[in-house]
Amino acid sequence: MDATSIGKMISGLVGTVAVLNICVLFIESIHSFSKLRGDNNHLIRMIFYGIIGGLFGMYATIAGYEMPNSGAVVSIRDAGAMVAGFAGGPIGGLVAGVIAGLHRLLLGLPDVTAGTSIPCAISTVLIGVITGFLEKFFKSKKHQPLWALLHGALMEVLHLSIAFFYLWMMKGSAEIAFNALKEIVIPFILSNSIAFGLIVLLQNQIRKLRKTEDHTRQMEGELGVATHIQDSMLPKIFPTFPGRKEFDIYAIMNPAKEVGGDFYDFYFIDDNHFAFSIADVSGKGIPSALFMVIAKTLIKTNVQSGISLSEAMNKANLQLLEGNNEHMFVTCWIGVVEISSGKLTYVNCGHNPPIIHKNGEPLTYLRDLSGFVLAGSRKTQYKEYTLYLKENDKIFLYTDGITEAMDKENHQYGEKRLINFLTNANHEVDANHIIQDVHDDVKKFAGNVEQSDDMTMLALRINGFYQELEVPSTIDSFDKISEFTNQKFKEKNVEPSIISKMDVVIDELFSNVVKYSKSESLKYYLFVERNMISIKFKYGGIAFDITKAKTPDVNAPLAERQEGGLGLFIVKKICDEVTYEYKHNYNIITVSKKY
Amino acid sequence: MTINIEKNGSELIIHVVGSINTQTAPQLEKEVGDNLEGIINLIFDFKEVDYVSSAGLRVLLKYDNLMDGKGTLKVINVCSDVKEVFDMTGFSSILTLE
Repeated sequence: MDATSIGKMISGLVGTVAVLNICVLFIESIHSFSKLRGDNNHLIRMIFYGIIGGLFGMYATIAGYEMPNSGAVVSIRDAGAMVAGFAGGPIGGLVAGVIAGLHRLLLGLPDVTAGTSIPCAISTVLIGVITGFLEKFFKSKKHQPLWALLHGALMEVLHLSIAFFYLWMMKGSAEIAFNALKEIVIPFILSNSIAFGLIVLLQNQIRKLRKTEDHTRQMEGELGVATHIQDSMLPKIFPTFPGRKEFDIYAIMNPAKEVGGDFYDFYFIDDNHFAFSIADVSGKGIPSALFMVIAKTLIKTNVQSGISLSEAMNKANLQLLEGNNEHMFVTCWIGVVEISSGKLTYVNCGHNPPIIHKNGEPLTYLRDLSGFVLAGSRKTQYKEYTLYLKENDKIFLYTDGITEAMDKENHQYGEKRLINFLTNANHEVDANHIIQDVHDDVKKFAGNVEQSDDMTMLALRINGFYQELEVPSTIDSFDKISEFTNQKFKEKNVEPSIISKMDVVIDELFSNVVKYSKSESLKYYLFVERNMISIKFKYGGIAFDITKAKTPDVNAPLAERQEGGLGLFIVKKICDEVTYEYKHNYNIITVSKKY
Repeated sequence: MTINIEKNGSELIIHVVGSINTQTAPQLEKEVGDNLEGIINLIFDFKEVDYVSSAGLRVLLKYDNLMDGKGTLKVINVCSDVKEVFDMTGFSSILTLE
């Protein structure tokens, strides 16, 4: 055999191997087919591989290389049967072997006994089935492609042996048989074993890839759940405290990744003390999200335990330091506002300075620092600061994701731009509008630049305070309440029709308390701010939930009506909100109406 | 609340000034009751009434029942705020308002 023939033979065989590889690549990449893979005994999978292997075998037979001297043909038909057996088990191997073998037999017509058609066909079927039975053996091996190489070579030795003995039998001479086959021994064994080895290698690679892909998809799914869990950990129902008209609050947290290390929080410590905070955990992504959960829980637990704010933060600091081997830390600003007076106590643990807007004064940064970051040092003792908030005062908390947001020229949004924006913003809007406006401005500033850090903001606005009047629980006290109320209404320019409606409401509620509660005195609270009137009655005596009072049938004939319930019915009709709670032996009725 | 009473034979007109609330309603109830003898047409003039609470509504209800079969009860010059209370409680469909 000359060099040209060898070259032709090699290029022809390589082409066929390539076709087989493409077939396998295609099948393995079909997603729905890959689902069948997991099920080893799936009949459809076996037969499917059998047919594919068989068709390939037919193609390989046709594309086989005819030796220039002996006319013997080198083909990788057997590789098709082996692939079918490898991937489709004994059934797959049998199907492929029969298809490719029959095809080989038909090519030998009209005289199938003349050449090697019969032994070749039988060999293909045998090889398919044997490989199929070895399916489990292959799967248990670490280096499948190398085993495939060896198996391919052994199978071709078997094939050649069958052909040799057949020819010996037919021609009656071992020498003739040997001469007919000797030219193809090496190319035959090499081409089939390499073809099979390569395909197993390819299939291994694809499966590995798909495993990674599945794993990634699973991780993404879990991250999605984590995002949701983290999101639901932050209080998000606004307005969060119906019946609390003294302030309004709004906050958002936009993580840069699926989960973030920023958080905000707010809650009542008791009826009169409201805590609100913002924090930023070092780092980003899952590690900081995990630390965020711990930090948020520890801070809240300590703050709600009733100790002073600085003590609570001292405790949280030490608890966060326990077992903090990753040396993560949290910056945090937390404030507690006394609702009845506006007294704000705050502690700043290394967090960005909030902006405070006292009504009628320029906005400023609240730069007091109480101590080092949380989980930073055992030695930290936090210092508490105090100031008084009045009607229309606002405080704006944020994390560095806001001030350090970048535009495409790498400029930071910055503290200056933030305070200027807030200074020029409409000061009459609610907390949620302030947040939305800043958010929009930061987005506008950043343009198309990808958000690199979590962006979190919280705004709290003091709307006003309830004024308090304590009177004996007798009908005569009504004049006092009425005078107290009307003076405030006049001061706030409430229109007469609203005044007369609220007079009815106060009369109904007050007379109800006097008649039925058996309480000796009652506390009356009045709040008139920002187009909102809110009235509270707090009294002891018999607990009775007015919101559960029977609603009278206003369409029934008057004579048939029951006496009670009508007054409370009127109250509910006039007011936008009526709530009742019983706490510490006190009934508290709160009603409110917009005007 | 102040009450001015005008009696023309069998007609009794009650002019009320101020608010009819829990505190004042008993006074209204008494004044009407004391003058009801022989009355066929009972008229409440609410021209100067700021508001009527449920205590006041009960007084109206009581006399509407009493006059039933004996004569008529009318409420006149009802301002819009009071009318609203009558409407929301269903009283405007039963009382004669003018």
